[in-house]
Amino acid sequence: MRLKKYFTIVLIAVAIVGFFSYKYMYKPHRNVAEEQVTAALSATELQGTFANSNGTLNIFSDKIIEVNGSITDMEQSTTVIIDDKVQIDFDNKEKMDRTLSKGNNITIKGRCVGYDDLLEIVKVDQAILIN
Amino acid sequence: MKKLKNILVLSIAISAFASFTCNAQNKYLDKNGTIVFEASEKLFEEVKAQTQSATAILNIDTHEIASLALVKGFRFKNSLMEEHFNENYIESDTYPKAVFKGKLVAFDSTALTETPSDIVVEGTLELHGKTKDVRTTLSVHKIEDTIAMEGSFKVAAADFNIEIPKIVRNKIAKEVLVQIDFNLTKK
Repeated sequence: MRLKKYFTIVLIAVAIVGFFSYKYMYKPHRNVAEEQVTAALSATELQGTFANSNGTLNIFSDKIIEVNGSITDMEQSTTVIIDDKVQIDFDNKEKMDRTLSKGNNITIKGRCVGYDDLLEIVKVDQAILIN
Repeated sequence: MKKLKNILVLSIAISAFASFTCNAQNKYLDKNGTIVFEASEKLFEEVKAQTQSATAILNIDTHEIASLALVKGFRFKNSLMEEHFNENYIESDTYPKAVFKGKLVAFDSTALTETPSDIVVEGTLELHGKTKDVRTTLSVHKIEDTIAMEGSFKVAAADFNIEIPKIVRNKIAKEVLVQIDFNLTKK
């Protein structure tokens, strides 16, 4: 009888530990839409801070930021370049469907990935269009 | 005398302009290159990540090719794996990028057709503060103004001083397969 009680307790403990470790191991990816913006700035300002520090600066990298500028180039269905300074990769195709064209002023929220010193542009991914 | 000087200045200006436009025309660029790496072991969870925002530049005069991928741009299916990859293994805050610089061997851009041809590329890969020679064969073809290249190569994590803790050592392959897919357009 006592043994049975003991087994039940162990079983519950294992289930709890299992549940939390599963939650920890398979936690969801960060959600750009829900996260707070750490900085809001223009494409030129953003590129300037990276370029002036030789790309070593990382106060913005991996942070959620808001960037604005006008579209100077459209690469593919999910990528735009603003002010020739920042490359924006949109999160998914659906969110890009709003018809954007060259010259449009846009504001986006996304994750700053880092500085590409081959092209001297800052890359932002998982972006969502705000305005 | 003054006229001669004028002509000289003009001709220098023209040749400078010509070489500038010439340079501009002979570069092929991809801002959305795909790079996938995989270090999966059978029976264990797949260790695989992908970036779709790698940069590649090919100069068809010098046959030089350069590619840059921001390490933080690599996305895993499992977010915890992505976190560990960035923080513990590749240390992306300290080493934010992976850079390949190399040259296409026996490359002739005019001979490219829509049928893929094999071209050898030689160069160095810089990652995690270490540099390693890489040589592989790319399948290259050209459609209108786009040069498409695909290929793969293997690197070992140990070559780049990336330490893998004992506890996960048998879940991560020692050899990492890197696949690239670039579509370079004329700039």
